[in-house]
Amino acid sequence: MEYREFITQVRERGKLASFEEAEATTLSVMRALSEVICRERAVSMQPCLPVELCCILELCPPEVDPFIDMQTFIGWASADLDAVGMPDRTLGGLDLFAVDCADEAVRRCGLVFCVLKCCMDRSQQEALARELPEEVCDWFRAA
Amino acid sequence: MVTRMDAKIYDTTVEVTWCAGCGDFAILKALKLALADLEIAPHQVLLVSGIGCGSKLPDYMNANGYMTIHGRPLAVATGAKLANPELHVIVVNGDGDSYGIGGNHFVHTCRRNPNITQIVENNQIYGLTKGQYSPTSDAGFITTTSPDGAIEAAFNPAAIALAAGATFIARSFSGDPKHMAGVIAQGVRHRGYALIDVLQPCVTFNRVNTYAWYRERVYHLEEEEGYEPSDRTAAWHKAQEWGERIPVGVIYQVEGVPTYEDQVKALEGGSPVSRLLELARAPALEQYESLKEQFV
Repeated sequence: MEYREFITQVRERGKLASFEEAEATTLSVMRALSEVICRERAVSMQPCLPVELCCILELCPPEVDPFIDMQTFIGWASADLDAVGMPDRTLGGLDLFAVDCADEAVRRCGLVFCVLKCCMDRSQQEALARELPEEVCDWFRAA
Repeated sequence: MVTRMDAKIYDTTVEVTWCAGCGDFAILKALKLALADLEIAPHQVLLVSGIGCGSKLPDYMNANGYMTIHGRPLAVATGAKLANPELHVIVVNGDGDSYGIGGNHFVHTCRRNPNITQIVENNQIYGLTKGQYSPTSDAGFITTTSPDGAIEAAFNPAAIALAAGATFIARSFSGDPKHMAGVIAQGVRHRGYALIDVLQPCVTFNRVNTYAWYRERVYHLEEEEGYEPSDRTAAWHKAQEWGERIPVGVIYQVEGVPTYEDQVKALEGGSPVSRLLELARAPALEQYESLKEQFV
């Protein structure tokens, strides 16, 4: 699959507003993935992924931290999500308020996983799933 | 047979209210792992916090907890340690609570050297109050209270701790929970005041210092050939490093310095808690001796 097609599929499946938004989402989720997979896995995924995404997976650290869980994964994956709402005028001030974007972050992980799975055969999917943090593995399998 | 403690012993059922993806989750996890690795039981731990997102942490751990007023956890922790030196006293608070509101206590705790550990959840912003710049925000950082960018240079915790006489200064990154757990364990083992400044993204209000921002910059001091944390001059240079490269790991450690409680004359006869326990036990002992005379 070509890079542009990958991003377009993420956009269409998620009904995201623009190509740029879909691209930012994809890059964030791939960056999160690179933190939890080993170098060997990243290399094994190269033949089935657009080269632009392979470059991100290659950022994986030499040794995977076994204690990275779904929260840290979401932290990486939601880097492009706007988590701040409009100024809170209830108190008359200009303070912003936080928007709970956990569900949206998980949904976007699912969108990217869904397109990613289309690029991989079943054995590759299983190998990747085994390396994911527990809850992230569930999202991957459900995608 | 040695049984390794399971970190789950520190779990609670309290609902965690941090934003999804917050770096505090990894700090919570690393602290539990470190304490379990050191085989320290929950009843032996006192967690002291202030006010802020990160200061909610004691609620999420099965251990003794004390949430103090804003900026004062080090003062309370020092008092608790004097009262009961058997406790592992661990302060957990944010960069605003520690370096801003509690800045005075921070400097004086460094020079007093009580045997306590402080973990600072440093996200370079005030998160709980919705995004104002903090003492560790970099100059130029734009927030609601610094619309034209923060004017001041950022507070440098490692350099100030070193100048003030801290005996253990370390830094970690919440994106590396395994490394962080190791650093926390070293800090808890250290006899004296241990500062562990943890770089952690605020995923809601700080969109500059993200996981990726830190990942591009942090490097592990343990992997730097020839770096010796007991070298004060080398530590001073490392403490100044910020920007393109940020060192994490133990920046400075000196051992054998007497702790504050070692030098308090009033504690020579035992700590207040141990004396209370003695008093409580004394009547029982007398009763026991009396019963023994009657029946043995």
